[in-house]
Amino acid sequence: MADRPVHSGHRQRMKQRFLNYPPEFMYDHELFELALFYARPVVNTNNSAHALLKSCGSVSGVLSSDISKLEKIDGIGRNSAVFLKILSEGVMRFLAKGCEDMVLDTFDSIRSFFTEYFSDADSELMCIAVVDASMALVNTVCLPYSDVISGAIGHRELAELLIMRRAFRILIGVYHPLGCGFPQSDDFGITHSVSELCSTLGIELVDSVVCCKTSAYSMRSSGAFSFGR
Amino acid sequence: MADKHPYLDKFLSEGGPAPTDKEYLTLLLSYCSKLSPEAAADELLKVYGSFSAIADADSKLLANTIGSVDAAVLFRLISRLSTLYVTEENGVLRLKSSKDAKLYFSGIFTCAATEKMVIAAADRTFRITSARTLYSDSPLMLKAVCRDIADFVVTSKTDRVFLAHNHPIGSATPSAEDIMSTQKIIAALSKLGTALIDHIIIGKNGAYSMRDRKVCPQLDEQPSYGYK
Repeated sequence: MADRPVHSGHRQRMKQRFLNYPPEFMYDHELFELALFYARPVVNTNNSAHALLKSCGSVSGVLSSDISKLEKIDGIGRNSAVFLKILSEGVMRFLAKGCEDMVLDTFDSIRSFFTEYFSDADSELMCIAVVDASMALVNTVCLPYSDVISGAIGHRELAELLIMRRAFRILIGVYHPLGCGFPQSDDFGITHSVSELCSTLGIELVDSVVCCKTSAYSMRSSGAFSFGR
Repeated sequence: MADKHPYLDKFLSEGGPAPTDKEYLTLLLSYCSKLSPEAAADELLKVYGSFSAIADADSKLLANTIGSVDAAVLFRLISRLSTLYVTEENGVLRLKSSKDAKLYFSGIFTCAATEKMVIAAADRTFRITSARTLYSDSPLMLKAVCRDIADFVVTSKTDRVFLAHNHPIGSATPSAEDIMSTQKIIAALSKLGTALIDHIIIGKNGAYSMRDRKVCPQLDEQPSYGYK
């Protein structure tokens, strides 16, 4: 029987580690090692990842470099350089949403945030925004509304993703692209369900905002739901 | 692979923003094995409605939506790299040496008229991930400070921290009480598996690194992880 290579399964283990732990548990070079798996299906990409960071100086340096510079880096080549450019385009598209460094400490800022967050979406969605003690936005997660309503995403899944994101204080936003901007019975149902879960987990639910294409309705500011605190 | 992908030409010749979200997603997903890129892009856009929402989706739920761990990893990578990009573009320091740390904390205590203590959590590359003021105006009992430190360490999930405090009207040289407090804090941190990398004191006319000056034997015994 042939010996299994020493690094057999290394790629799968790295991918699982990346998915199962908070993303900041990975070094910068490990992120690029992981990224290069997609462009170089067989070879060891660890050295190339180190070379990338050394040559470009930082993560943002790699993401801002053009293909002609990247492909000259030791172990990268044309295919990897093109893939890294495609990946960096994803980063730019994600950042174009412009929700970083926001402080959601007023009803207006909360409504503006969710209106902007959902501005390019055409599906019914639910967003959970994790904020810190000073109401600065920490992170967000987007969920298909229909899966939350149907129970496909249940309390267990919601609890897991809240704990993984180290949530102590959250806001929820619900988006109905064809809605009228007022909450429906399902929206109250979701808010009640999340509120109960938060109470169990010791998380503060600050507000639940229902959005449509043109407006946003804050349940807390309108007094439509009792938030406990 | 995307070698001959129809949208690759458009991406390369017209620039990154040229492809629509659907075209861009199809191109990106063509790098994932065991996946039909067109069908997966359609399915993801049907469920999430936009590229931003897909990149912000929960990885495990997304993997279930299209049955691909590769795709889930790819979108999580985009989200993580975005965070790092913004952090670096905003000029965040890495405190790899006592010189960096003294510079960083000098900035924090600029114009502080009262004594404060600050704790900062660092990741494995010495990037400061969070910081908290432990007391201001009047120092609390050390036991209460240790409780606050433990709370900070647990909530920020860090294994290495920096401490800093200021002497608004005095020199930066530590007092016997400063050294004793540092020893007690190190003892409390060690119970949480967390190392104190350095304790910086900012005085009226300069900054002082306890690690640099080797004034606290317990601090010298702490792992440095390459901090100089």
